[in-house]
Formats: sequence, C-alpha cells, structure tokens
Amino acid sequence: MKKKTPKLYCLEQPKSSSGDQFRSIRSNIRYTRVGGEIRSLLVTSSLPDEGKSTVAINLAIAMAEAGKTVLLIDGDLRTPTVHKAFDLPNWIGLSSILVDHTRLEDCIISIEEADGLSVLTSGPISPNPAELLGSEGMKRLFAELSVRFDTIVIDSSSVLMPFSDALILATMTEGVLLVVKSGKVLLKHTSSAKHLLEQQGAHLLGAVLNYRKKSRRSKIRGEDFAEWASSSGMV
Amino acid sequence: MEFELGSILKLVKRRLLFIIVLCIAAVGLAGSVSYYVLQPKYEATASILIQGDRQQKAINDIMAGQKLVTTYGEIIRSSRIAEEVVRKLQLKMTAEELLKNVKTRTNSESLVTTVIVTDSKAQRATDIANGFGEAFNANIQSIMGVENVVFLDRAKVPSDPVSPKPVFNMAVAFGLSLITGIAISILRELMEKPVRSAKDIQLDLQLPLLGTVGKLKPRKRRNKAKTKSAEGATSYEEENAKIILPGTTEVI
Repeated sequence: MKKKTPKLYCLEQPKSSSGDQFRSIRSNIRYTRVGGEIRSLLVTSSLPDEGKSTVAINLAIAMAEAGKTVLLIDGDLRTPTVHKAFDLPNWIGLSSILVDHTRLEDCIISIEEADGLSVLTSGPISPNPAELLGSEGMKRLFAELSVRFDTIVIDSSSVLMPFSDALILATMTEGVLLVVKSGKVLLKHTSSAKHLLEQQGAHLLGAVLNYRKKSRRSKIRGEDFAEWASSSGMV
Repeated sequence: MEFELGSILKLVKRRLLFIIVLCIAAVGLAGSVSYYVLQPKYEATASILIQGDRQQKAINDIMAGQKLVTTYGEIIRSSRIAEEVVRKLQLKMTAEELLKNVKTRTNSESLVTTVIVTDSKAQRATDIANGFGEAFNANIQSIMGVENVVFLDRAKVPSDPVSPKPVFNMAVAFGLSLITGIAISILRELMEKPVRSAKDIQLDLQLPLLGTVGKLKPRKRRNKAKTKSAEGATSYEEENAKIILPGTTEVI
C-alpha cells in the first residue's frame, strides 16, 4: 500500500477554509488545559490512513503561525510521511539520532516557508521502532527538545496496531489528539483506541473529525452552525 | 458498506465460531427432538386385487373393473369396514380415529388397490393393514356381490419408521442455521456504526471535539453548481414574469 503524501493546506492555501479549520483546532487545543498551554502533543488515530500526518503537519504549521517555535517529529518509524510532505531527505532523523547518535543540529530542519517551524524526520526505517521509542535515549532526547522548542507535535502510527509505538509516545507527551476519519472507522475501533490510550495514562485532549462530509440534513437543521459554534468554543 | 461475495466470506471467517455454535446447537436440537421427543411412525402397506367375474373376460369388464377400483378404495375406507377392524383387533380407538391413519391408493391403469396404514407401532400398523384387507374380503361379497378378491401382498412388518427422519431433519436444521448465522452476522455488521458526525464523538465516545477537517474541492464544486442552478431559477422566473405580465394587463 502506497501512502498518500499529506497536503500542506496551511502553507499552500493559507486563506482556505481548511487552513482556518486547522487554526481553530489550534486555538481549541490552547483552551483545553487550565494551567498553561500543552507543550507536547501526539497526533494519532485508531487505524492507519485516517489522516494523522495531514492533521499533525497542518496543526504544526498553524501553531508556528501563532508565533511559537514548533518542532514536528515524525514518530511513525514504520511508514513515515512527514519528509514527503515537505520534500525533505530522510537519510538521517529520529532513528539515526537514537541509534547512531547523529547530532541533533544535523537532523532538525527548519522550514523556510513557515516561520518558527522545524521538522525532525523519522530517519531510516529501523527494524525495532518500539524499542527505540521506549529507550532511555528517546526520553533524554525528548526532554532536551522540550527545552529548545515551545511546542512539540509528534505524528505517530495508529493505536490499534499490534505494536505499541503510539502508546509509548502517548505516555511521553502532555496531550494526545485522536484523529477520526469520518464514515470509515467504526465506533468500536475509536472507543477501543481511546480506552487503550487512557489505560496508558495518556491525556486525551479530544478528537478531530477528518474527511467530514456535509450531509444535506445537517445543513437544513443548522447542525453545521452548531458544530462550528461548539468547535470554535462559542458554546 | 457493500456486500460482495468476498466480503461475506471474510465476514463468515470472522464470525466462524458463532456460526459453528449456532449450527451445532440447531443440529443437536433437531436430532434430539426427532430421536427422543417425536413419536416414530411406521407405515405398512397391503395390496388387494379385485378381478370381477372370472367367467366373463371381455375387455369391457376390465374397463368396468378399473372404474370399480375407485369404488373399492372408498369401500375399504368406509366405517363399516373400519369398525370391523377395530372390533377384531380390539383397538382402543374409534373407527373415525383409525381412518385418519388409513389411506388407499388406486391406480386407473390397474385393478390393484393398496391400503397404507401409518401407526406408532410397526406391528400394529401391519395388523391394521391386514385387518382391513381381511375385513374387506369378508364384506365385499355382501356389498358388491364380487367374489374374486385376491390378497396380492400381505402387509409386512416395516423395519424403519417413515417419520420422523432424523437425518433429513438434521440436514434441514443445519442448512437453516447456516443461513440464519450468516444473516445475523451480516446484520450485526450493518448495525456497527461508523463514526460520522460530531455528535458521535461527543456523545458516544465522550471525547471533546477539537475541530473538524472537511474536504476542500468537492465543496467548491457544489457551490458552483448551486449558483448555476440559482441563476437558472431566476432566469426562469423572469421568463415567467414576462409571460404573465401582458395577461394581467388584459385582465385589468
């Protein structure tokens, strides 16, 4: 299965409604926590191909637009896509820092188009991602990066996989964002992903409904407005 | 959700345990009911040949005899004969009850009448069938004045019951339970709800909705289509107005 390259809505079409949607997600995340902002965020989903990378990338761009220094980490060490979206080389990255002790400065790439945004790609695909992510080196690296950047956004693999990559990363970050692909993922999958994350003690911030189609009924009923109002924090 | 053959096979694979348990339960139920609950029924048949008068061997006679066969069949099933059978065999039922289990089969091509008796006991079924034959034999002369009644085949004691047929019942139960199992699996699959709306996330998942991301391009296209149709509607209305206007002036 070839993975689609995520689109940079926020960069390529900054005035589009999609850009606005990510900006509103950004501000909603800001208000999810009472004492201060969420400084590290994991973006995951219950199943693959729900649009995690798209949300993570565009959210990171939207956060950088707000004047923060943001680091986007591709934590999906099995099927990385972040480097494809930004058209970056991926021969060094997260895995090479952890395995070969490559210098951080060589791996972190700042994106010119988005001021304040830096990207740490996955690096070469390693045979044991779960071990890498759960290692002491990863904890140390994460602690160091948290000092350097205002916000860290991690794009991870999906939760309902036989491996625990996403759950390991979820315990490290302050908040977890669950991307839900509308109309494709069953409720039981999403809820079991939620329970798994909660079992690990992850702090679930909320969900982002992706690929949402507007139904005619919801238009007539005005549910759209209600949704927009609730999602933008008015209600 | 589309259901092609492949997806149904996948579904069956996933719910195999459920379907197997359902099938085993249904087959077991059908088997135990047909072996232990239902009373077995045995069928005994006796056939009688009525030849008419032996002296006149004209074809006409045979033709008449063929017509008579039907009559004989009805005579066998008459209560007069049945009562005699009940009396002779000392059965604990009335003639009417007995006749419910007795059938006669006649064939327009032959002169043979067959008596078919079903009963819960093999021996009793045989006795009744033979009893009917004998009683008919004894009475036919006084009724019809015919003497030439030949007991072609005396009823034999049947070894296997005609009903219930446990194997047949179990096979039917297996087929039905298989279909039901697959149908229930498909229904359950259809009942499973995909996450679609903000309401699903907020109410069913108990998660705050941080935002929605929609598709960009389809919405643009839809807007275009809408404006087009809106223009169409206005031009249509304008045309209508032009048509109506002169008419209204005429009325005034």
